[in-house]
Amino acid sequence: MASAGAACDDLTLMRIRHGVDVEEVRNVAALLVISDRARSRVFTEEEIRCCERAPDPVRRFTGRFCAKEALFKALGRGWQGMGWTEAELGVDETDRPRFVLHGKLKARAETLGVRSIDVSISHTSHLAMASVILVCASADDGDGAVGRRDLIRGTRRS
Amino acid sequence: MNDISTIVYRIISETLGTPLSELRGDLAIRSIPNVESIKILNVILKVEKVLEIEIPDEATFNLETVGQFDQLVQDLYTQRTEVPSR
Repeated sequence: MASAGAACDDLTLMRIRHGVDVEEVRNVAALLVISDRARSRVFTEEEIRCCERAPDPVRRFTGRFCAKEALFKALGRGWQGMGWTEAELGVDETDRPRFVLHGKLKARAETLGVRSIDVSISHTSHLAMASVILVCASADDGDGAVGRRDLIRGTRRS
Repeated sequence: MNDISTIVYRIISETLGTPLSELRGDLAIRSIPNVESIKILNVILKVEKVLEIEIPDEATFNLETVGQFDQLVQDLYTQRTEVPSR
């Protein structure tokens, strides 16, 4: 999968998918203390290490939780059946958040022709939100829907 | 309703804030008011902890109703408690 910012050769075949999520920090804090398994159920070992090094770990966990939720939405599937740890959020060389996908999530992204994943995360003291934008090379959304590429040309087929 | 179902329904009711009397087997999880994925994850983690089971993410793929979730938990609990025959 190409890195963020990669372009498709033919813009008329490009498709944008978007997902967004917002969570209260206190809700994620409550989730993380349910059991010993809670953190590793949602986050990879590297994500846990990274969040725990942050000045406010729970806020960092909440941002990452939102990012994963937003990604699930952008991919057109809910959390069900998707491994939370199959979406691993790290940072690139410029410190921007960057997803690496594994397993079913990676396969789903490949089906959709995802060329780049852009993620943005924001926090307040009690809320976090994330937005994920996918640039897909294929006009086929993997679920049988067609016709959206014509929106780019200014006409739409039903 | 057996003991496992009682636990499952109680956890769903308490976590999602839905009266126990309103939870039916054919009730679609997504139709429960104010349901969010973080709350469903909350339910899963609590059930896992109380019953000492692990619910694989892939096992939740086709779950739609409260009854289907209950049945999944029953199956996983039975597998955990079954003594392998020699």
